[in-house]
Amino acid sequence: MQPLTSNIIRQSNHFEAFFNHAAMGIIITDQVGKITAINPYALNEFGYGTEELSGKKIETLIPARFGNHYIYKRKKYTEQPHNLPMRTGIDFIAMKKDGSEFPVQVSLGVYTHKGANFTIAFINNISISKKTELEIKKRNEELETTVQQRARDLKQILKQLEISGSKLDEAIIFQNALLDNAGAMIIAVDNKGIVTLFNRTASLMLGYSPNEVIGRHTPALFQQKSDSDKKIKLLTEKFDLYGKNKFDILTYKAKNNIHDEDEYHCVRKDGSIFLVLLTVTAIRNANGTVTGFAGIATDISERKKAEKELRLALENETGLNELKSRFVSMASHEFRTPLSTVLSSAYLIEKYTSAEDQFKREKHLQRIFSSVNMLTDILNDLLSVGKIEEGKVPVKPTLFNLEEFINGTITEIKINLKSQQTICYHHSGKQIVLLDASLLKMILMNLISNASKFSPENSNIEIKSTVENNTFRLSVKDDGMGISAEDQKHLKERFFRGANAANIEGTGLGLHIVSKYAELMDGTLEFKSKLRKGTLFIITFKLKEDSNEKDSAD
Amino acid sequence: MKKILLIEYNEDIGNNTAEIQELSNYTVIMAKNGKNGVQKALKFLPN
Repeated sequence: MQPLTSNIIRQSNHFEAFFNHAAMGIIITDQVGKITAINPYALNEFGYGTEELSGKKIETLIPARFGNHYIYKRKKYTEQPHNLPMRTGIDFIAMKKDGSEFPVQVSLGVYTHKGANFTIAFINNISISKKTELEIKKRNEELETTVQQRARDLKQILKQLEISGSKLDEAIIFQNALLDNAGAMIIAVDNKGIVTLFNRTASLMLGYSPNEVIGRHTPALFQQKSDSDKKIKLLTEKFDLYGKNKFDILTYKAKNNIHDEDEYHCVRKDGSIFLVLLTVTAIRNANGTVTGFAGIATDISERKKAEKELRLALENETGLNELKSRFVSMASHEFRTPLSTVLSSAYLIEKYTSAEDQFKREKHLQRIFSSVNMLTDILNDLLSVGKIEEGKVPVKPTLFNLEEFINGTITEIKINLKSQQTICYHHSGKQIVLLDASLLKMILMNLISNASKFSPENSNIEIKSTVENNTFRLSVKDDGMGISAEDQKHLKERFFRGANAANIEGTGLGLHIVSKYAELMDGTLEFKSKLRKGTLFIITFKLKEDSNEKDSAD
Repeated sequence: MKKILLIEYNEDIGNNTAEIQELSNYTVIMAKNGKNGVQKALKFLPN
C-alpha cells in the first residue's frame, strides 16, 4: 500500500505544481457555475486576490452585457457536457476586477468527483494574439490589395508584352524572312570574328550548315586566303595600320564607317570557288560601341561572266573594225596600182600610132594583161575568204601521186619567180595520198609565191615533202626578210601585212587562206621565222587509212 | 630639154609615167625610193 499511497501523493504534488505554475489560467467550477478553484495565473490575469473569487459565480468574470448569453450557454453545456479542446475552443470577452475587458479563448473539460460534475476551464489570454491576428488580418488585407494591384499591373504588363511580343514576333518573322529569302549571303560575326549569323543563302551557296559555322568559325573558313591577304596588304598601306592584327585591319573600314565593298573569291565546302561582291558594315549597340560586323555578299560569277562575254564581243567588234580599215587600206593600194597601170598603158597605146611603135604597143598590152591578172588574183583571194567564212569550200579528197603533183605545181609557178630564184624540191616516203588536190595546190602556190615575194633575187626556195607513219609533212623554206615576233602573232589574220612588207604588193589574205584550207583538210600550219633570217612553213596532214592501202596495193 | 626626177616604187607605173612625160619632150630620171631619189637629184640636178 505504501508505494501506492506515495504514488498518489506524488501525483497530487505534480498536479499542484502544474496548477500553480501553469502559464495559463485554470478555473474549476461546479455544476451551477460556482468557482471552486482558481490558479494564481488566472487570478493575476483577472486582477483578483487569492481568496477573493472563492465561491463566486463564474459570471463575475464576464462583462454584464454578455452575462445572460453566457449563463444560457453554460447551462446548455452542463446539460450535455463534453470536452472542448483549445484549438476548437470558444472565444469570449472576459472582464478583470477593475472592469476592463480582454479577449480569451476557453477550452473546457469535465470531470466527476464524488457524484458531482465539475467543469475545468483553461483560459488563454488572447488579447496579444488577437491583436496580432488583427494585425495579420490587416496586413493580409493590405497584402491582398497589393497583390491584387500587382496582379492587375502584371496583367497589364502581360497584355503589353503580348502586344509588343506579337510585334516582336512580327519583326522577327519579317527579319527571318528577309534573312532567309535574301538572294545574298548574310553573315554576321562578333568582335572576335566568330560567326554569329549565317543565313540560308549563305548555307546554300557555301555548303556549310549554320550549326557547323556559328560560334565555331571565322569567315576565313570560306574566304580565299590570297584575297584577304591582298586586302590586308592594301589596307595596311592605305591607312597606315602596320602592326595591327588581321581582323582589325580587315574591319578597319567598317569600324570607321567607310564604305567597304570588295570582290572576294569564296571557297565552298567542296572546294569549288565562286566570286562575290562583299559589303561589310559594323553592328553597334545603343551606345554606339561596335559589337560585331555584318557582311552581305552577292554571287557575281554570272555578272562577271556576262562582263567577260561583253568584253569579248567588244574585242570582236574592235577586231572587225580593224579588219575593215585593213581591207580599205589594202583595197585602195592593191586595186589602184594595177588600175593605174591599165589606164596609163591604154593612154600610151593610143599615143603610139605609127607602125614602128608596134613593139611598144605590145609591151603595154602585156602590162595591161598582167595588171588585170593581178586584179583577178586579188578578187579570187577575196572570194576564197568569203567562201571560207560562209563554210562553202568543198573538200573533195582524191588519190594522186604527191611527188608528180608538186613538181607540176612548181613548173607552173616558176615563171612568176624573181630572176635567178631557184626552187629545190625533195620527196621521201610513199607517193600516193588521199587529199583534196585543188586545195593543196592553192596552199602550195601561196607558200611558194610568198617565199619568192619576200626573198631577194638570186635566192633559193627549199621544198620538202615526206610521208611517214600516216602523216604527210610539207615544208617551204626561204632565205628572205623573215617575220618579226610581234607580226607572227597576227600572221593568220585577214588583211594582215607584216611591218616590213609594206612596200611589197599583197592582200594579206594568202596565209589566212592557207591556214583555213589546211584546217579544212584536218591539217595544221606551223612556221618558224626570224627577222632577216628567212622563214620556214610546215604543214602537217594526218592521212586517212585507205590511202595507205591503195598505196601498198600499187 | 627639161629634166624631171620621178620616184616611184612600182615599176610598171614608173615606166608608164616616164613614157608619158617623154612624149611631152622631158628627160625623165627614175628612182625606186626616196634615198635613191635624193642621190639621183644631187647627181642629175633636175629643173
